[in-house]
Amino acid sequence: MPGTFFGLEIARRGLNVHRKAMDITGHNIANASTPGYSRQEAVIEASTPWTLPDIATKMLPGQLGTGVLAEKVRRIRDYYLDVQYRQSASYEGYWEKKLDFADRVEALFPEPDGRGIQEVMLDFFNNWQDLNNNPQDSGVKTAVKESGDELAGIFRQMHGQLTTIGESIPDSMQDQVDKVNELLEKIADVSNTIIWVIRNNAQPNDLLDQRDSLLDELAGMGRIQVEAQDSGAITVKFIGDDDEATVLSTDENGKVTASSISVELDGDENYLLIDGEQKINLTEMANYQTGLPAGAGQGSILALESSRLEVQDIINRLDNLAAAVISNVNDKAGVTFFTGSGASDIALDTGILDNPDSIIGENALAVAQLRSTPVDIEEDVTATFESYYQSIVAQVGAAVDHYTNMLENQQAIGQQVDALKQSVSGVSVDEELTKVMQYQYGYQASARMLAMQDEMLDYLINRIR
Amino acid sequence: MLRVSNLLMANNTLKYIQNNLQRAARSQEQLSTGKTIIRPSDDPSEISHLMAVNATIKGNEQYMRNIEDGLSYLNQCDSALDTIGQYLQDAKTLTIQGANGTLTQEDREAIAEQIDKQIDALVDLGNSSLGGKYLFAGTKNSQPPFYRDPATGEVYYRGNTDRVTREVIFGYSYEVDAAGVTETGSPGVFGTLDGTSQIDDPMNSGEQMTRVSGGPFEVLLELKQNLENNDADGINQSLQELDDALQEVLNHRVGVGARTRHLEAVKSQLEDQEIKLKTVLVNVQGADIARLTVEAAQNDLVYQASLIFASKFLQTSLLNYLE
Repeated sequence: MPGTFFGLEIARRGLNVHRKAMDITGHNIANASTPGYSRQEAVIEASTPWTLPDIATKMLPGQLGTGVLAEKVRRIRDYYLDVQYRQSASYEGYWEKKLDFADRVEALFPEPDGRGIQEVMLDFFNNWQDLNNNPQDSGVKTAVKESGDELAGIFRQMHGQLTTIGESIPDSMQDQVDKVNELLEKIADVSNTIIWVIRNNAQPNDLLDQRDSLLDELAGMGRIQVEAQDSGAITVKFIGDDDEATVLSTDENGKVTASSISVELDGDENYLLIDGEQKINLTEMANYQTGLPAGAGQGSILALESSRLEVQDIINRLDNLAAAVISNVNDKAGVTFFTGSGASDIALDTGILDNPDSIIGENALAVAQLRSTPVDIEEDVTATFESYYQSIVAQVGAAVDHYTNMLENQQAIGQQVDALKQSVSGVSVDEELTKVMQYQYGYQASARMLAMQDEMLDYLINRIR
Repeated sequence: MLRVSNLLMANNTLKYIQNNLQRAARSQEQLSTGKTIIRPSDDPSEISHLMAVNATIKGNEQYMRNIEDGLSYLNQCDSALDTIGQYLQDAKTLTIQGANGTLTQEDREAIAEQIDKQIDALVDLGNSSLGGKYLFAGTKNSQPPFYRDPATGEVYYRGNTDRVTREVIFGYSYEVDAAGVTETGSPGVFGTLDGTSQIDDPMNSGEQMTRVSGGPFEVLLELKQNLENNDADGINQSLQELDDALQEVLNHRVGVGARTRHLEAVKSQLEDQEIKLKTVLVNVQGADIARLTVEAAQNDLVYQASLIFASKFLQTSLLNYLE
């Protein structure tokens, strides 16, 4: 048989639990707009029932309840959705950076309607046709000189602008690397606090949310593999699958340490260094010319490496074209018309610049016919200047189109996963308000119980004389 | 069933509004440029095709210019040949007159004098030019090609025997002149070059000029000598040669006419092609304004709906009904 004040204790527990649940609901509502927040819930359980057997208990059916307790606060989250979300974040980070640079490259090509290399080249060859019609005319020779100068100029300009884009990539890469290092430090700090809180038998729900958000952000820069334990210990592998790709680890004392990463150019190839040691060949992973590269979809650092190779490839193709223009025009013109060896340094010969009359009018037709004559432009590639340039433009356009589609697809997938995540962890204000009403009534009822007990005890203690 | 959270709703609404705006920007771009391909990525599979068509159109414009230029050259040649023919005809009339047995030596010398003037006139015709370029000088056409040596009365040539050509289709160059003189083979309008007889060029020191033989100059010169020598048989012989020379000029004129017709045919073909290519451009790149307008209207509707949703429904929650 329970004691006299047993009923008071049950009412007190009811009040406590409902107060606590109300506070948690308040916390949820306050964080309804916090990115990465997982809704929390009081784990409400009936407290251990009265079970001490004695002579009196035989008279009672079953056990006598002792009220309610809420000792834990649960974070509602699905770990598998996190894995999926991070995978999708790596893809998004990758295609976003690829598209970013492809867009910047495309912006340099004024085709199809603007005055780009093709247009200038056509004018150049048309001027040679005019010269063929008037082989001795100094005016036409000057026009040939001018359009030649413009052609050389536009080659140099394109080359310069592409080079500027190419040169900005290592800076971007360094930014990303710095961000990764910053994130790793933060994750290590948060993890150490988490481990300490768990050791003290508390649930670091908000800290776990914070760590998960940091990991989500990290996944955008490189594919990660996370192993988290209930103790709060964590191991994270960055880009690679092997142990050597480990960037965050927990030692046997439960201390989490972060490695620092860097990227270093070794010859032509970029390597990812972890704590100063060469670990992963980024160039090999990003080499898109071998079909879909191994590193596709693995975060922004690999995307930058891939963009670097791609911009280099376009610069090389432009160089090939310029070199072919230089050698073929000089050959057919019978004089040194252009000097230089590629798109970076193609220029009119000073002899032509100072004295356009030194252009040999009788060779004009041979030069003009170059326009439609396939020539060797790169190894095993024979094409007209126009069609070669068109293939460069098509390559640039196709890249933007491809990356836009990939990014859109990946964003759609990411949104789906996010919706699933939100479905599990997101705060619904209506839901929380409903709970508020429920807990409010629960609290009121417990209070009423307390008042009734008070009244009863008043009779028992004060009224009986 | 998916649990819906407020953050998800807010994020989605933002995203949908952004999507709608992007679509509106794209419609606006296409509607205001009238084109569906504005940058290479708009249709990478068509971009090379589009650029190739643009290049062909621009190339054809040059070919049209070449043809126009060639046609004016040919027309000028034709009228020069016409005049040459008339002069030779006149010379023939004079020759028939000179062949008349009743003429005296003096009469014949007077006719010879006229023939001599005809030679000068013919040299002037041989030096006909168009826009500063001499028609019968081959490609070395910045100086008058024919020169009559006052000492001997012979005509010398300083041009070359390359033909003036215009490229009218890729790889096909057409001659737009009539050969003034030739080195060997069938003679030009004014005959062939006699490499064995050269004099110093009075206009360009250090260069040589070559005598023109076998054409109207030589025939007329011989005729003149025959008239001066009162050689009746020679005069009749010259009459025959004059006919041959006249026939040769006619042959050249027929050639010029044929090439004129050919160039005109190519020209009209290029004009047709231009229309077709521009149609291709419109098909590939042109925006279907009617369809775009409907799409833009639809999109606008969706956009407005998403805005209404954002302004009305996002505000609604249980809070509105709690007291």
